[in-house]
Amino acid sequence: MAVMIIAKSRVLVVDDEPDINLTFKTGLEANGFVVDAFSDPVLALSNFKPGVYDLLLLDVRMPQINGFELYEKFRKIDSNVKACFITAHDVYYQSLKEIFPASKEMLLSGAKRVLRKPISIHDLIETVERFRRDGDQ
Amino acid sequence: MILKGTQNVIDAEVQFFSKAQTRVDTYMNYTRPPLAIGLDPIRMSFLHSKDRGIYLRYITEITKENLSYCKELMRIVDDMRHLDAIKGNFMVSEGEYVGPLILFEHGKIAPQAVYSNISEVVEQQQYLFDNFWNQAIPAKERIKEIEEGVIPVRTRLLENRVEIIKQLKHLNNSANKLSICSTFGGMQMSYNYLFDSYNNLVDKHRRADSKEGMRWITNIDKESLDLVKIFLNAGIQIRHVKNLPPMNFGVSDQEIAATLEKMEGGKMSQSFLISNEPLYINHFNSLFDELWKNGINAKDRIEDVEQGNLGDIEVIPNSVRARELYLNLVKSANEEVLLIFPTTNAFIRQHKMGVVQLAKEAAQQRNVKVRLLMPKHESTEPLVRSLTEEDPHHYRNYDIDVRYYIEQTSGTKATILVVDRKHSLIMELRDDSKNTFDEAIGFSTYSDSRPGVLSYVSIFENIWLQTEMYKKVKETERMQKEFIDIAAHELKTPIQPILGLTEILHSQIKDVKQKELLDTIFRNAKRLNRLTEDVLDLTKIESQSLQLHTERFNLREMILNTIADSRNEIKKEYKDNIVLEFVSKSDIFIEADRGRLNQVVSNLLNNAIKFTKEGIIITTAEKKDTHVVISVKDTGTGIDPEILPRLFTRFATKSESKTGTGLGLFISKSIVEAHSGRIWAENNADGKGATFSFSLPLNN
Repeated sequence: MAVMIIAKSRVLVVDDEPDINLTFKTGLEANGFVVDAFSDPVLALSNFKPGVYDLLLLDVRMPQINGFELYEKFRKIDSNVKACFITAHDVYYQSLKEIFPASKEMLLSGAKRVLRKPISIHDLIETVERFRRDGDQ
Repeated sequence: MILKGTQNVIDAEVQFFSKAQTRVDTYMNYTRPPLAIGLDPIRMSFLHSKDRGIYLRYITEITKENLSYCKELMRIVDDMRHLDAIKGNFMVSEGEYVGPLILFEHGKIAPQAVYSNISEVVEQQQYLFDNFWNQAIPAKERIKEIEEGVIPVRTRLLENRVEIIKQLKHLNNSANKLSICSTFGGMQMSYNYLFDSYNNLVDKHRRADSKEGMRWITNIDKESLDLVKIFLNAGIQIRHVKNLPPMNFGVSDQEIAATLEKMEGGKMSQSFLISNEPLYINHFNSLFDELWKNGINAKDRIEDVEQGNLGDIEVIPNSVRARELYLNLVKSANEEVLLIFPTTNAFIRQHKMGVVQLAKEAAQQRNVKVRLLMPKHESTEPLVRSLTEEDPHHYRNYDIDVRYYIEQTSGTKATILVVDRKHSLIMELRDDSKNTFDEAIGFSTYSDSRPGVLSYVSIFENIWLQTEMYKKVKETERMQKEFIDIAAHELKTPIQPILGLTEILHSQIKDVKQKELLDTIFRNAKRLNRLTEDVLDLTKIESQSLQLHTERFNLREMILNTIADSRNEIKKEYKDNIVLEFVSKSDIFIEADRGRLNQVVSNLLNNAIKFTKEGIIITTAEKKDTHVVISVKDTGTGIDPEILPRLFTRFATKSESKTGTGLGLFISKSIVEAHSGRIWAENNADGKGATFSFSLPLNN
């Protein structure tokens, strides 16, 4: 299960379900990531600083502000930041896949930008690692 | 000068003959010929005149009774003719006129006579005689008719009322069948003057001596109803014909009588054409038969009239006339206009023609309720908006409603107009590509028959209602989809922490016993997840909202990945004695929903693994013509014959069988069929295990 991480990558997790936040945070930390997790997207936004995170892991359907809008706002603050979306909604999953078609490099490495819940920690670590390495901004 | 006394009359006649220089013309009723022969002075006068070379002409009514006298008279006079129903008596020479008193008593000499030698009077009488002469028929012909019973072929125009009645009665009495076609006026006339003369034939018909009997065609309406009933009761057969020929006629097997007059109020016609010409008789009989054939039985018609089911249905082949009628009907609407347009083009054409504007005016000016049904199209949206939207400058107090129907469901290929629930006009669409109404329209049918019109009203109301239901169904579908989506989210959310945290704990715990417990939690969380997915899929399939997200991909690669995943599963569950193999010769590119097909293959593999203790599970993917066939062959227990017939239905699992909801194969079948493919299963020929296959069309 363990993936070797040399430099510690910093990941921001935003999901309105605290238990899911806890799960992803624990899973990622157990695999060497440094993780900040927020269950309030507005709070996440107000604490966001550019150049801090290697990757954002964003839930899509959230109150007040959805994951996609949140991503746009983060990008205004940090134009280089990468983001993965994770959703239990089939509709969001399909439409996000259309909004963010995988690049050639991503297809080759199997990097995914859009993930489905539930996801095993093993798969989560693998896709996060691949996307961090090969994914688009 | 008036002469009195029979002797004076005879003397005057004798003198008249003797004074004649060139000719004597005589006009006498049927009682006079016997006197001309039997009364010596008169007979001698005739003979003397003949001897003197005076030209003698004689007109009378030759009958059976006076036949012998007439024959004798014929030998004396130069020319003799017969005329029916002579009443007066007179004789005229080149200079004098004698008119004995009208008298029908046999053998009696007139006691009075009028005499004149005034040239104007003589001239006038001569003119009268010549006229009669021209109407009269040769005596020989009449004699033959009487002696041999031969009726000569004759066509006459009768203008004398008494004569007309006499001849019509004669026609009726001698008929072996009688067919009459007349207006209500003709019927009234017949009732007033001729009714008793029908008895004879009706009796014959009752005794079956006449097959056709007496038949009558007329236009039966409220006005004629009572009289028609009287005629029916008298044993006359009657049929209703709406459009009568512009002529009243009666035709028997022997004669035809016809008039162009309407005989309004039952007045006797001023003239009647009577003929026994076989050509006419045949012609009128066949004309009658044709009308009769298409006539409506009087009893049915009376019922319709009495119940107010009076209706008129007319086929209009001419689109110009249909257009006029169409516009006029909308213009005449007082209460309601219902309109169905079969196509968007039809709406545009008819809008251009002014129909929609007329309907709007009807609504605005006469409070007519207007409802339009049409297919939805962006090109007509501004027009429709202008009809239905509030006018900011005026208070909108008129009633126009427009609804869109789904073109396929209406299936109508005609414009349907219903006005006031009393008139319908159906205009068939012949060519929708044409620009004008006249070119686009084929046949049209107008009706004011109540049942027909109400049928169209109900068609309209049904489609109208359908549009409402369609809206509701769409709304329900949307809500259901939303629910499924939310339910999916709510069901999956708690699974994520169970799965994720169990996994993390598993990696941190060293105790084997505890690891086993966590495995159990993990396995069941996954089952719960699988079950959630299946139930959601089932809901989607049943609400017909299973959507495919197609992309082009390499099927071979996808199956390879799926098998790799399954190998991992086997490893985790320590089923080391199962081997998964994949046989596929080349890449297979396909346009399909990758995720869904992965679900199908993975489901078939899971089933195979579940029912196989040890052995090889071979997956193959093979191109066959226009299809690709994917098979998963196992060496397990095979399919229970009991389940085989309902293998791909919902919950097709045996209660004592292993885990599973019994939804997997049903979902797989639905996914394959959504791709226009087929799925099937069979037990292997060698008796070990089963093979599940599905085929998908290759659309390139």
